[in-house]
Amino acid sequence: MALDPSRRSLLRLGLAGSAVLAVGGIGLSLRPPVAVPSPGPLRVFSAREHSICAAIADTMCPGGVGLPTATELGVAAKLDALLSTVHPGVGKEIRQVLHLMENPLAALAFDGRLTPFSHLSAADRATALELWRTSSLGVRRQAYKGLHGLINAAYWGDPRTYGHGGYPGPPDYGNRPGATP
Amino acid sequence: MKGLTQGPELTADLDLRCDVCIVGSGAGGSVLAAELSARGLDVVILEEGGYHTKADFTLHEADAYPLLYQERGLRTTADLAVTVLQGRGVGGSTVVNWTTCFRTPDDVLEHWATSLGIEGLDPATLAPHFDAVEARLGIAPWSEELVNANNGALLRGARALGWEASLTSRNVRGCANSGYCGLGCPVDGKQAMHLTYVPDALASGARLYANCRAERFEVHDDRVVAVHARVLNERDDRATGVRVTVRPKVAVSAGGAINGPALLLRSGLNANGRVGRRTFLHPVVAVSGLYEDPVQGYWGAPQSVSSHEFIDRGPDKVGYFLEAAPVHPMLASTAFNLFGGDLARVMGDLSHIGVMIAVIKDGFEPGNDGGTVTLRRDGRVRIDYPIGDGLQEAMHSAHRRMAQVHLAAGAHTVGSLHNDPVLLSSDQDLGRLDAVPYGALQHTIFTAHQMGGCAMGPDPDSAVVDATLRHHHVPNLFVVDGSVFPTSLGVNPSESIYGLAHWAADGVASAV
Repeated sequence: MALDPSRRSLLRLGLAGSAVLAVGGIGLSLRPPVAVPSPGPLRVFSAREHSICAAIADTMCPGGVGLPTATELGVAAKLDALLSTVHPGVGKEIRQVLHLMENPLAALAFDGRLTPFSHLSAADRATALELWRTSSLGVRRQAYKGLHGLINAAYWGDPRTYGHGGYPGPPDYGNRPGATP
Repeated sequence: MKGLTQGPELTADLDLRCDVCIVGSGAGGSVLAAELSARGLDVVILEEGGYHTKADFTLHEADAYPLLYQERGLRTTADLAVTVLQGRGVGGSTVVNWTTCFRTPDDVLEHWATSLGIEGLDPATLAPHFDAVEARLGIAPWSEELVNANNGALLRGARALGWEASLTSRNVRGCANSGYCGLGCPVDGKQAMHLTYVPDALASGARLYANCRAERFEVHDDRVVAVHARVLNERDDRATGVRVTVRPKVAVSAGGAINGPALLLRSGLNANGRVGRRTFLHPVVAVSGLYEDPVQGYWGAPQSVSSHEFIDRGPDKVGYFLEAAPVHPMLASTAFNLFGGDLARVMGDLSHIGVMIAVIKDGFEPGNDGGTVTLRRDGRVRIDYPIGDGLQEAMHSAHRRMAQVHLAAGAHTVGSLHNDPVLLSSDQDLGRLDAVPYGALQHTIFTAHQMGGCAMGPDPDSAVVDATLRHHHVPNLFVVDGSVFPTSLGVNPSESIYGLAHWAADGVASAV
């Protein structure tokens, strides 16, 4: 049976990703990501993965205009908690994507820079992320989309961001646990 | 609720006998369970999700999607191109659907009869079954004075353009018009299965086991002899080690169009290779409109208007219908592919954004064969859904039509959900939608309607079940859910599943 396009691109993610990760592992081990401590114990992410995720989340959701940063809302830790409730295969894929985005050799191959993502300035992180978002490679747009959905859901699903768009939050119908019936 | 046993109560293995074991408690399984129990049959229902009531519905998206949706809200196609919104738990998708009800359209039944050879499913046969479920579930047209601003824009815009648009029927009683159907109804207004047919079934003696995942049907000599299930820890869905084995006279797969085919595949029941084929998603594309006046699309019945003006676009063209979608912040933020300040600016306008959706009628034209459901090596379900030229053309056309509706309804800016949104402010700008690509990973695509994968049909080589929903090769196995549809429907599918299950009950009962 001929492989359909989505399967091909997934295979490409697997092959490209694992090759780059294998080669880039040395660079990574020499240069850990800029540390962002987790507010609590991690279940799926390593401390390193949490830090990479936080760097990407703070680029997706940098705060300002009255909004908190992703790290102020603990977005990376929220994702860790969510991933601990789903099939371990999902967490594994997300962790691979985090490593790929941080990986300096992947960055060199894709975008001609050797600096790991988390070590970039805020402006350069945004530029790097934009290259993933708009890449002609489906695999990079997939990686962006996967993280975009998770991170923004955790951020904009937090009641502390509701007010930004004038959303007052859900009304109280008195059916909350502990509420008077 | 008497007759309901939840995971934490199951501390020792169970071995049960019954007349009928139904896997899945959604729109198909619940109606069937109630109908069979009312006929005096001994029914066991296995549901892999948990039992949740309004006391659990905080109405915060961050709570609701992980609690009430498949894969904690993370289900997608394998290429991540299509976000799959599908409910999970006692009541299935009916706990979180947006209450839009239609009978199966006559022309769809006609297509099944004339093109696919499916006999016995005609409008007259199904009518009394639709009458019955409509009466039980309070299905009735919504009233125009209660239509929210988001749906009102669709109604106003379509009328201004001279397009067909009507108020939809909704399965509600005492609806508070809250807007939170998708997060679990806070007032039990939505007549979801966990409030209606599930209690009906249990009152008639059925037994329901929640947090119990059916792993496989055990088949000997072309008969299901047992259904093997594992009890799941609700926090992380890991098996607790407790097993439930059900030995029924008749088994029913009713886990929906994704998990149902997966169960048959895990059971080795795919002799003709048709299980998990022709999976239809009614793929949904959306266009946003920015309005001067507040829309507050997070409030009010999320869907109450539907336009079928473009459901039949002539031979070889894929049709679609237009509806509105609720605008809550979490789902909205994931739908716009932007980040940083660009996304924050869009989100800042949330209360003024209206969202139209086009639901694409897949599965009718030659070559429009939908997607596939398969199993990954690690046991997870895999959904593939190629978006070919026909669907891309429909998505393109639908974008233009949705933009026209927004503009006719008074939106001052219209934005697509492309990776780089296409912005329009008048009909003169519509051509901008002709210059951008459509399809996978080009723009946001959702599905809330999963169908097919265990198609009914007369030919044992090309269909999974016959026109009575009985498995072609395993006579004491039935499939009663949206997976049996041989095409999509061109309307929201919940009532078609209720009605079909109601109709199928006699056939299942007679097999006991």
